Amino acid sequence: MDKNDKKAWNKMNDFEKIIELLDKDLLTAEEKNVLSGMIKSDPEASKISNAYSQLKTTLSRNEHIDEELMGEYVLYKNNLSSERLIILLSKMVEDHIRKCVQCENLFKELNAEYGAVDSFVSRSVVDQVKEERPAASKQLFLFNNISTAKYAFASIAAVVVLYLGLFAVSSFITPDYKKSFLDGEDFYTTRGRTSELFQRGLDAIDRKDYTSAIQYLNDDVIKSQDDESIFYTHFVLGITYVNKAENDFLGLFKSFSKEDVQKGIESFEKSIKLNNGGKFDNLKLDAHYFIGKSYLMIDDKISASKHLQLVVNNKGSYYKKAENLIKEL
Amino acid sequence: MRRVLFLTFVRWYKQNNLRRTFELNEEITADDSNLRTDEGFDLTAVLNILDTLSEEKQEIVKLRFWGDLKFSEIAERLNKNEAAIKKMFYRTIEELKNKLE
Repeated sequence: MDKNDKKAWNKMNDFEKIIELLDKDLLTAEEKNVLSGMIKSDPEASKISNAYSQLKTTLSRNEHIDEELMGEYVLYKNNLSSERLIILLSKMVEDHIRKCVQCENLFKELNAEYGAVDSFVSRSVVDQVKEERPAASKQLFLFNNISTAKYAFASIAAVVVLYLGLFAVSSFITPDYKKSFLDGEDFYTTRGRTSELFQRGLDAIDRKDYTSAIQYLNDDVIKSQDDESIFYTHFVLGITYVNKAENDFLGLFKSFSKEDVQKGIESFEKSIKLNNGGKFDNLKLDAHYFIGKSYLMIDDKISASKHLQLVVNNKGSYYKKAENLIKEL
Repeated sequence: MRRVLFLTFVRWYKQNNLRRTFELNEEITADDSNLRTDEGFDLTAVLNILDTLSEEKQEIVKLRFWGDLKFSEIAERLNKNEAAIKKMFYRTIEELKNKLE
């Protein structure tokens, strides 16, 4: 064996050692150190470890039965599998299903799905046979289909009429100010705020992923609490909380989660408190306007009118809208 | 046809489940990074590559992971020598690694 062969031989043994260690359920501290050292010192070893992890994650279900194995078992139970693998493991699967509710449910779910596949295929075959029937039978088939179409059309019409009825009721009982929180207002001007977390927050809002947006904006608040422009993150956070608070049923009967609206109001108040630079005083009045609107969303008209009146008195940029809202109350 | 349709559904169902499980595990195992060197899990690629392996290699891998059998048990069921089974298992992992690259 020459030097190169010996090197390759040692490397191969190292890889086998790595897999042997990765495959063990419990490693001693010393084994962990050895494994860690091998992986860190050799990129090839690192790739082997990665491949093993991927394979294990893909196939190993820990204490449960793998879905593909369960699929084979379902086929086996329906006399559609004679794979050696499932014959070798069928008893183990059966024993496991008896004592594991989760796997029993998986079996039931997949078995039901197999039933659907079976009936779909059977139906397709029957349909093919039907197509070959004589003309008289075809006429009857057509008649049946027309009846089905009529019923389907009637059902759709009933659903549309029902929805329109609910829409009318919903529009009647929902005050205009509750129909939309933002009214198309644009709050994407950054007011000097350029942090990455803030931008990510805006992107998440754009995707209507308010939960992630709140996470990013709160992280921005924690990370940059001493920034001069942090008040704007609080402002956008307020808007995001109120947007997240919005619930409806099929776009009707709008309601707002009180907890999220309260968080929104707190964020607007924080924005007002921290907006001390003097450059964006108008934003304080905007925050008051949105606080007023937020209170309206949770039906606190007294608090709402105080904030809206402040916007009107100080001629904030939303004073016309604030004035109209006060008239509605 | 029933078999193909059904197993296609099962594969899709499994991939969806795995993605969910992996997203959950990602956070749980984050601090075990000294032993994990994952550069991203391409689940579809792994499953597709597995399908290309010889039947015997697939069987050993699946008996090990699906059946959670020890190498001695696999050897017994496949009527083979334990050392040979281990060797084939190691070679399969290496083959998988090469195909994933």
